[in-house]
Amino acid sequence: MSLPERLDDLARLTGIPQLGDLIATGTQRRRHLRWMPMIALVVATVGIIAVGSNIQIGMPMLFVGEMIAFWFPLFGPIKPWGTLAGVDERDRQLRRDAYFTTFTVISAVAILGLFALPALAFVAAWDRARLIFFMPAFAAYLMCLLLTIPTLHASWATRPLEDE
Amino acid sequence: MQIHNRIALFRSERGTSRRELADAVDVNPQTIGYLERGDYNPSLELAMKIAAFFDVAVEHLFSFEPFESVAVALRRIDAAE
Repeated sequence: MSLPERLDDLARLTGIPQLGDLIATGTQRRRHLRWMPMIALVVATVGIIAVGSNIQIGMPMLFVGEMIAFWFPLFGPIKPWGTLAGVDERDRQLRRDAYFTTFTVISAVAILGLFALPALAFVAAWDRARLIFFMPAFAAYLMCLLLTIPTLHASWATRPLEDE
Repeated sequence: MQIHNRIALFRSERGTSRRELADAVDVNPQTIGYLERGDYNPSLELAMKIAAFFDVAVEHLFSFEPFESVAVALRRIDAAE
């Protein structure tokens, strides 16, 4: 067996290539994830709040929340935008409702952040370096919301279906 | 507005699985489950496809009013006889 074939076998052992095939064909089993998004959201929210006072604690928490959130589009109830296979009218409605809620929340948080950031910087007398550091952290938090809220919304909007 | 349906009854009567019906009307089996449980209101297109599959009129399958249960219907027929 050649080296590339061995590497292919190793890659298949991880299950990731098979997962890609399942997602592409729309046959992947998707689950209601009701609590994990909440945990990711709480960790990320505590993280972004902590960034203001203690960057060493806040940033790792923010990234832990984001790392958890990265898995939701793969295993949660919402099928990705680009997927056509296995997506029917109920999937489209679920996705539309979930992203409508998500974009509403993100817009509200972003607008609030735009006003809160200069206010916080003024009140807490942040220097320019801290403000510059906080802004990408806030963008990462918005990214975490984008990954988390669709799964959270769809998981609580519908009840899991029992097997036939 | 809640739309009531008798998909589960028709499916049970014909011995059709969720997957068979789902394949016939081009949706996921889960969608049939959510329809039967009343958690999802179908589009007109899907409702007509399901009615066509069972070869009945749409109003025999879907209604704004709750359908009469089989037990109630049988008692009514017995009483009429």
